[in-house]
Amino acid sequence: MNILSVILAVILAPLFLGIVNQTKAFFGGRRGPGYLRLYKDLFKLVRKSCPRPMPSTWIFDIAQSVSLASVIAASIVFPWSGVGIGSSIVPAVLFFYILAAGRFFTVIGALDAGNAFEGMGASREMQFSTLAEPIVFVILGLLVMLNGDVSLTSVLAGVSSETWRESIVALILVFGAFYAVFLLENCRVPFDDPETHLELTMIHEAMLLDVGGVDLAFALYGAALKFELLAAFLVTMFVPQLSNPYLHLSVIFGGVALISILTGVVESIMARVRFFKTPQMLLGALLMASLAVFFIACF
Amino acid sequence: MEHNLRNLLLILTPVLFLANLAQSFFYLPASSRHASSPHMPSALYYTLFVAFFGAMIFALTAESLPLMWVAIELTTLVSAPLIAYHRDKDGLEAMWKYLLICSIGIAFALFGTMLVLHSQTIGSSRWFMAGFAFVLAGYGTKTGLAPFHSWLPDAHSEAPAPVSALLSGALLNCSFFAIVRFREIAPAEAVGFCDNSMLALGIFSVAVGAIFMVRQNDFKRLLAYSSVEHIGLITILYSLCAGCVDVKNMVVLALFAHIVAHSLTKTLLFQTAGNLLLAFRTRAVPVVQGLVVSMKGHAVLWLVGIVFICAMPPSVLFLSELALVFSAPFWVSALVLLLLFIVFAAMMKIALSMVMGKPLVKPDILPKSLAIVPSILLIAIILLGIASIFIVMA
Amino acid sequence: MITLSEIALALFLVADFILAGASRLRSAVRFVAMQGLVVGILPIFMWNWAEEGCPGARVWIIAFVNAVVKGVVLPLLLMYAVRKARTRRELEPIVSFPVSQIIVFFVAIGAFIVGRLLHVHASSASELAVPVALTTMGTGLLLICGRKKAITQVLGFLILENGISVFGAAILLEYGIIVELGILLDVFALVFILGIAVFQISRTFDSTDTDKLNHLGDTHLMHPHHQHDHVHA
Repeated sequence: MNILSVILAVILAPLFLGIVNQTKAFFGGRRGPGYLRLYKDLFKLVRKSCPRPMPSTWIFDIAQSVSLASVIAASIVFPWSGVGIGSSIVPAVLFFYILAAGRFFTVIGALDAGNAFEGMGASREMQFSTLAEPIVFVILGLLVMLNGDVSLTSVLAGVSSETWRESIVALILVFGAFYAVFLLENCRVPFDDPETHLELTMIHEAMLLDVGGVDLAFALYGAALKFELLAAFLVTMFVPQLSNPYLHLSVIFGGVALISILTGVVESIMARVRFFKTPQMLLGALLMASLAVFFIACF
Repeated sequence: MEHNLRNLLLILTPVLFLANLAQSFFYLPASSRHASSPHMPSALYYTLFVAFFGAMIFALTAESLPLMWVAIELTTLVSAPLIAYHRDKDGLEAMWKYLLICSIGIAFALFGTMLVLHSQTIGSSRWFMAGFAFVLAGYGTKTGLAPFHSWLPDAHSEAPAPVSALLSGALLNCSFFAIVRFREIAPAEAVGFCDNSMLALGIFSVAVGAIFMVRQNDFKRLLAYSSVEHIGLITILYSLCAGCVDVKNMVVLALFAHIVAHSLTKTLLFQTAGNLLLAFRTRAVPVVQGLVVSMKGHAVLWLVGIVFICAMPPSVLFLSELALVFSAPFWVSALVLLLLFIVFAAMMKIALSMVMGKPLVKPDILPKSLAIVPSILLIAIILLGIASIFIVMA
Repeated sequence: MITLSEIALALFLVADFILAGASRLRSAVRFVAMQGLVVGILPIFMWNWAEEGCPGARVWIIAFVNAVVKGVVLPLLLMYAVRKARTRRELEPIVSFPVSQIIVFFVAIGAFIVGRLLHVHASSASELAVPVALTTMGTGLLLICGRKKAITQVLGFLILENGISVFGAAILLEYGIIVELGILLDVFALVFILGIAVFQISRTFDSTDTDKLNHLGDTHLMHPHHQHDHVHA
């Protein structure tokens, strides 16, 4: 069951980005590229060779593969159907550090390419993810406080209905704060625009300027999987653990689909903020998360 | 006591309104001849002026406390455009400050009103004290109690003379009455807190008024700070006799006398100051010198008005301040006397230099009609003063 | 229904954070409009449906008028003022945006502690309402004192007013329909006059920065060149 659900998650990942794009197309009054567009793109890309920029070294070659591998590793330990493979011994912090390792390889790959734009993108990516980290830690601390243990399973054991009743405000604040982290980590509007075509305004995309072929397919697929993974994390945080694993799995995928739609709506109604506003927004998210901790601790 | 004060203000406010309305008829045409900047159309001015009076009467007669809040906010709204009668930068600035500062104050008063009403439903004096603190700060802003007075000098100096006079003479009393209404329903445990906080704000207002009058260069601002000082004195007087049922009490009578005498004298002074502003086209004291040579009549009005507002006998204010000094605790009396001495010195220095100094500028000739209302007011306050002395003697 | 009112109040709190950090005036006006709508509907959410049945016409009328005026009419008026005064965003606030958010954070913590101590004795009011009201009032004051643009100060006043209304809803105060409509009328007229004043300030001063409004004071007549500015009368 566990292995099955991981395989299902790995297969379904590109679909959710399709949902985001279709939602945006719906709000923009367009027909949209279709739900399965990313599958087709990936299929097209894997048949191409990957060229390598002149000054780069073997680091550039392995960067995208390692990065994708780390996301897959994180999705293997994630408890998709209630209990994951080893999720009861893996601390929640480790989960986020596996993802951070993937980011590290993307960044050094970008630096290795020796392109000024890629260096700029790498610098921004690191800056913002550094700012997002305290929020993740505050929220993890809150979940540990609620559930009593640091392992991924118990952190994600879900919020009991009693907590729902008593501290709904704290939960809303946590949702808002984690959603901000979710958008930032996945490079969505309002922090980054995945569809921008101007190198100066790119963050994540700037790092992939020289990547092509199979490597690009790895990068795109890794992004889709990370989107699904973090959305599932957000959903599992709030949904109480269900006894039936199939039901649990379908609830999580339903929640991920809802979050994809929400993201599409947010991207349709919001403009992307200026760079120097981003730290301020993250500060706001951090304060909201801290306020939630305060509520849970004191009330 | 609340009832008597309301009746008193219901008589006083129309008198002041009529005096200032009459003065407006003379003042506005004379001012529009001089004006270099555009100003409000007369029809709008009179509409707002009457509406302002109506709002004040509404505030005095309103039955419930929230309704009174609505009325007092209404006075802010209709008087704000009157302050920006001259549509220039300074007028706008004064109006903006008046609107914003008073509205924030009034918002706090609403919050305080809610707390007080809630305290009555649950019967808790602690909630009442919290509510009264907000009410005092809120309506105190409108009353011009220091440290919430910062709008007052700007608004009073920029508004046309009849509006300044009405603001100072009538509006301050109305919003003071709002504070009085809350104090009169205080539960027994909260009485001490209310009276002490009013006493403290009163003394602080007198002090602020006194300090800012020294070296004041603008004679309308001088009068504005004098209003802060007198509203402080009124608050001190009230805090000494709050909750008193016996109207024949010396302090209560002094309070009533002080309110009436201050309103009339301040109206006289603001109207005279408006005339001086028309004649000299400036509010700067160093320019307006030697009135006794160039404008004999106004010199008399100004000097006598200043002498009366400083509580020199035969002013009624002399008797009321005497009552204050006799009935207050020793340290309050001493402090107030010291501050009053500073006020006296500052005001007399400025008034004497304006009246006696060496003429610098030749003022414009003003129409005689401008002096009618102030002259009547002057005769009225002198008669009142003499009458009050006879009453006290008898 | 209590849960619904708590969600509304939580949104209020989030809106406070966003408003403390918002520099674009248009989006700030949108969030104030959202708060206004919530303030209007709040009495219905807080109504004790289980025990008192469907609320009477008074409650519905006040809620409707409140929501329309605070959530639609006033924001439209402010949008118009933003457009007319040609100010898009608050550029150099006196208190910077991150610091404002931190201040709101501490105000919220203080408000929750105070709310805990005070214990509102009301049957169906949410326990959250008093802290949220106090936080909102603090945010409003912060916007009035910590920003330069005249329009932001008007917004701050509206937020302050919203906070007071939430407090009124929290302690289940009933003044009667005339007073409620009177309060609303006052707020409406005030914002209207302030809007006109903003427009006139932007025309007369070529800016809506209120730090340009610093001419009046106790010393300005001492400088000789100012004496000629004061020729009006």
